[in-house]
Amino acid sequence: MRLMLSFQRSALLGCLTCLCSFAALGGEDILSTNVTSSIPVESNSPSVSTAWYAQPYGVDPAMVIDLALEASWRTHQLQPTAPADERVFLRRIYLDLIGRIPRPQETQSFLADTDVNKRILRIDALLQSEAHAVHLSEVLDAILIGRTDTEQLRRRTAAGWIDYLKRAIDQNRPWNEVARDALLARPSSPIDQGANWYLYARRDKPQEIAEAVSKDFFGVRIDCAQCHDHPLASEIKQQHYWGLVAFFNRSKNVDTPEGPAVSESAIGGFSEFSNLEGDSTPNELVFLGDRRVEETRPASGAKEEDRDELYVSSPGSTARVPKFSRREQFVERVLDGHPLLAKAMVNRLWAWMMGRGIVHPVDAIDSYHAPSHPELLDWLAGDFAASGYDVRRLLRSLARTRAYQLSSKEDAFVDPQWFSAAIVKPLTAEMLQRSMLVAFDPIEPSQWNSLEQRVMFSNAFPDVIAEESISNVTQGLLLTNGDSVNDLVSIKHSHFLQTLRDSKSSDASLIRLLFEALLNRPPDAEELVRCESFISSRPERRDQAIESAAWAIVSSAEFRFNH
Amino acid sequence: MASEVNKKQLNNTCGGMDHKLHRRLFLQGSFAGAASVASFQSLFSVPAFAESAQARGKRCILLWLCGAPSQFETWDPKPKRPTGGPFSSIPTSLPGVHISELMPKTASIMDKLTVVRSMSTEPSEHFQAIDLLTRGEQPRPPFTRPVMGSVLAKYLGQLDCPVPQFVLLDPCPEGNEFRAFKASNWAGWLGAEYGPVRFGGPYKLENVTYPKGLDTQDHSDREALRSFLSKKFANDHKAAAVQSYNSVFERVRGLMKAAPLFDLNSLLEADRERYGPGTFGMHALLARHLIENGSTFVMVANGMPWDCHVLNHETHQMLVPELDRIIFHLVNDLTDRKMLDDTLVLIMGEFGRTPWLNEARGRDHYPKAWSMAMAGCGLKPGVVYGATDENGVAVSDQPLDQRRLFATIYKALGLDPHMAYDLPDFPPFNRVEQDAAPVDELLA
Amino acid sequence: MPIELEKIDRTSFPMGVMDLAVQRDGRAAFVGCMDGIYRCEFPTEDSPQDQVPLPICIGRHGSYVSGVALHLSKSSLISASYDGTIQIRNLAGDDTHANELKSGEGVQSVDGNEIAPWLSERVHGFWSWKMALSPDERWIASVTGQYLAGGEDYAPLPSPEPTVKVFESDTGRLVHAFDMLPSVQCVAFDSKSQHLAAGNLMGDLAVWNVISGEQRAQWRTPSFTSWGIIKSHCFIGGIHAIAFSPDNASLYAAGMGEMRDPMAGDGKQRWQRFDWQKTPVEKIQESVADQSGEGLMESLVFAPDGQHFVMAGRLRGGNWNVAIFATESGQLVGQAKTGMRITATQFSHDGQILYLAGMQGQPEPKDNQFPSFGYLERYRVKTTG
Repeated sequence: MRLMLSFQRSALLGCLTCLCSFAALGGEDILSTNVTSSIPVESNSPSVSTAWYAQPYGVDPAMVIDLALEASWRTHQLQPTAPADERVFLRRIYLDLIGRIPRPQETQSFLADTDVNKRILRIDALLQSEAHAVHLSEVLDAILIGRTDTEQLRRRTAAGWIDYLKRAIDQNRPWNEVARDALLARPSSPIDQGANWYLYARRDKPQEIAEAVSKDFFGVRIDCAQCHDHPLASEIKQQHYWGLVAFFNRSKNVDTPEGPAVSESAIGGFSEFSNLEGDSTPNELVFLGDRRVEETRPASGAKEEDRDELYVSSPGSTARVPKFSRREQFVERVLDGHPLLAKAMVNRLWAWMMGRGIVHPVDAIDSYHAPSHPELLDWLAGDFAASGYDVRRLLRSLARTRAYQLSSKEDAFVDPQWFSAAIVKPLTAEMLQRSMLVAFDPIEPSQWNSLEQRVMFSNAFPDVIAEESISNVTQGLLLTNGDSVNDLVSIKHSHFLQTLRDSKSSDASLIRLLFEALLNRPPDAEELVRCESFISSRPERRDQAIESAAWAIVSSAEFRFNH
Repeated sequence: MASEVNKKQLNNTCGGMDHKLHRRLFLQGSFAGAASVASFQSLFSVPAFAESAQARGKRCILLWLCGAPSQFETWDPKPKRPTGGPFSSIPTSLPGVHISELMPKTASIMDKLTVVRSMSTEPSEHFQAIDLLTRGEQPRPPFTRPVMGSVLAKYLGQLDCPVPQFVLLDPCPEGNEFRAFKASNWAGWLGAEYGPVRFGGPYKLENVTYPKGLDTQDHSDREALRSFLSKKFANDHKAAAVQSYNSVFERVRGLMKAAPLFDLNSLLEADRERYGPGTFGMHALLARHLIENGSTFVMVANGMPWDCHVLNHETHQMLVPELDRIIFHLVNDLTDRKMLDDTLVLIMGEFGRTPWLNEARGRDHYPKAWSMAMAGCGLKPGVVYGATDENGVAVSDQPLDQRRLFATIYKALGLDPHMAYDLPDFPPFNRVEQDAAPVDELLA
Repeated sequence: MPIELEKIDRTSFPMGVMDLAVQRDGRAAFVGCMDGIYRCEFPTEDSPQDQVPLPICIGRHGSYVSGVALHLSKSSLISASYDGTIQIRNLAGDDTHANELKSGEGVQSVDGNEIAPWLSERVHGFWSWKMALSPDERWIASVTGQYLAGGEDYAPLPSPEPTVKVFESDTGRLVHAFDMLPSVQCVAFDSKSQHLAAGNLMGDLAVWNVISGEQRAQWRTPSFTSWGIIKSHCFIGGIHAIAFSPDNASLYAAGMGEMRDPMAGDGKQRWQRFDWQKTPVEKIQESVADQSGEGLMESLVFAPDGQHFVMAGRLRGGNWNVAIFATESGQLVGQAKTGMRITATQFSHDGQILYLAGMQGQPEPKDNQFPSFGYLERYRVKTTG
């Protein structure tokens, strides 16, 4: 179904009014009413219509989210959990926004702060910090290009890709511009050269590019449409797969004095693809939502001639730019304003903050995977586009919602798709590593934050917004017996543990300090007794007992997850 | 989570002082806080006693032919038919029964096998079919049914045995839909402790020795403290992710002890020659070894090599003889060791392949009429069940779907096929749904 | 100079066609099919449209017929099959050899139009992948080899029997047996019937002297073989066609390029040309990447004048599945899309007609009948421009 033009101010306000009154009434008599169904319904099939995002900008997305989720809780007769307490909130927001646990002094100052707006203030402060840019760039790098080895990570960094992402986040560049930079790979200024790496990393393999572009920027996995129309999501056609390939099959990696670049030929790239039955079809320039670019195909067998006048770039330049550039056409006529561009990013950032996409898994926005809150996703996507693809605003909105700030503690299994409790999220490799470093304060930090260590960790814990977090024994063995972990959690290498040991404080206060530093909370009575006796019963090996207690805390589930 | 609590039986492999020590240390950690005891019960839960007495000691090896092999080039040849392909058929030790000429060794032990030629299932895409043929039911989100291996690990296995109860051997880290499936939640509502330990290819067991300066006791004590803290957190965070994380630590000690079992080089050279040299054979041998040493369910996969959309015959000429050799040696070895009566061997993929060839000399996906084979524990040997028509296009006799197949397998292993899971807050689920009946003709 | 291929007609066969031998007069052809050996007459210009002669099955093997060759001087037809046998049939109708018929394997009961072979001999333990008759008609060469796992990485196990065999065409007597790693998938003689070449799954190529049996060259090209890292750890692809250049100085190999996922069948359509007389052997030319699409190439033959050669196979992606290349430049000068996978090609004696044989995907049965899916097509070779 097409997105409706009715999705404009009056209709929207109608919806909001409806939601508000629903929230205000909240009576039993309307519990059974599915109020959200009065919002214009759109299926999740990728589709396009003109001016689809022409809707008001200025309504607070956090409020819309709260109203929509509260409505769905009522509809499904779910009781949301209690609000997260200040410590839990603080740890959560630090991990999500800057990728590490808060330091004890940061926690103390937050607790001591009496400003009623202190949560929002802290959210804003974190979002504007450099640490946020570093953290989110790592997340985006893992999503957009993926885990790799040391050599590749070195090249990726040298090419300026990581810096590009960091700067884009730091300056809060609109997401559609970032997408454009990455897919056009023709930086308007040398400082953005690093964006080229997105295509360059695919080593001249247009199919790999197509599969990545579709997943990363449109939230749709098209891989299995290579050989036939998608068997489960009929809107994903084989012609979309090969169409997307065609947009990138004239591109070629080149190395310029400015760095890695992607040249484009003015000719070639015409071919046909055949399905399993052997029927062949021309690979026209078309993608999801039937966004199509017309191009004259040479007659069958006719030989195209490559001539200088077909190019904008000067003859002899390494990174050639044709007058008719398929990449440019893609960016201008397919990517620009494509409803999935906004939807995919909204769904992904939602999943990042909330622990699960409205469409789950995040890269399956197709008719086979129904969203849990279709109207809300549409509204948020429209709002995101209308806001100028403002990533920071979206993160800020999500962080301020009631659902985000709910407690993650639940007594019984609850279907996570309704977000009636905060979902526990595993820390990414980088978050886990950084949090450990912040807590233990190594004497020689370079030993633990080296490229090799980062790669080792990121390969052991590769997931970023995985469909489901499943731990494996390799991880258990690494955390239990691995040298790097055991060395870091040692008095010999950790300032923090040294200070603890030397403080001559009582075992109880030592345990309290450990808990504050690692779990951002004091131990409860039971924990205190258990840990205290662990240390006091080993007077002849006190150092080792302290290390073991620290290890037990840092390898506990509470440390492993953002909850 | 099922809530049966019961006595524990120990077999020879898992008994002994060391086991008891391990258990004591574990309890020391977990029972320290009374508040958390309730949620630990499931950890030690074992099946109802009657069932356990009957089923205990039974185990299963699944030769998982992922990608889906061609029934025409294996169990159900149609020589000289338009769909038959280039290979002929050969007689077997069962009078009147022919199988593909690519399986001469297996043909000589057909009297020990139980073959189904009339599998008929629904999904025709890998992911959905793998899901169905490992779990036994179509998905019903948000509830995740455990795969058969997890069911067997829980109801036949012993959780605190150091040898992993459910092992997946697979050398191939990639694998399209199978990779996606491997990343999914296998143990489902049984809990992550019943998920597989994965080994093979890049999945080496590293970090299996004690960190320097820690002796066995220190190592255990430290883990007991970790477990205490971690389980406290898990008490009010029911997410599968948390369960999954905690369960891997429960396996660490066992894996450290069991690690030598996974060393292919420690296996007899003569055995390796018989099964090898390919990874599939080596892993089948390792499966035998693990089963002999206390594992309950070992799934041997080899990527998804059987998905022959191109060059079907040219690929099957290599894959089937390897499979032939593996089946022959595995079944004979289990017989020689007097283990076949307690060990069920399953040989299957997620569907079959089309009778007709595509343009790339390939055969495509075909769930409508396909074959699988079994041997051992609780089955009637020398049975060929069901049939397809002369061209192998449709099942002509005794069609069998995955529900009845699963019911048959569970019954063969001494488990109640229709046991109701006790899952608070869940809708009712049974081990096999819709009262699908086991196939008596297949059962001993 | 560009060349255009203009389709003349198409003849259908019940099952896929695997090899082709056209009579010198161009009136009829013999084809090896999955289900037997067929003879078909081509329609002439004055034969009515609705009276296209039907192909006639003249004999069968125990499996797919992978090779057919016309022994003109003896007026006989040689065939080879996946059942590992070679058969020879007398086409002239005389019974010279009738008494010599051996009760070998693969001989079927003869009925109707079928001609009993006077020789039927099991020569391989596995398939005859391809068979070739030397231009002087003295030698038959047949290649075999079952790919069995020979290592942890599934590299092929060496064959217990020789995989390249040469026989005397008059008697069927074995004259040479050479070893090559399985599976040996193609074989060809040079124009002087002096040398024999074969190629295999792993990209190995070798040339032998037919008279002495001496191996003249042996090398490996990695460009045609894939190892599955996505779904399966095994080897797929290899060289599926070879041909000597008209001057015999070069050897051409064809197949498809490496694939990341071999099950995709999407390797580049590819040929390579080697100076096989050099030590070490040198690759001197290969197909231009941007002139090729994707799909397995199974046939490569030279036009009678030697100015061009044709490579053909399957269209997986791209614009053609049969292409004509200028011998000297190696550039593509003509192409066509046939809507079927091509397994065999042959030029007419004068080079004016190109015969293409092959098959489409096998259709599902309709009313319990399997529709035909093997084809032989004729094209007029027209120089344009």
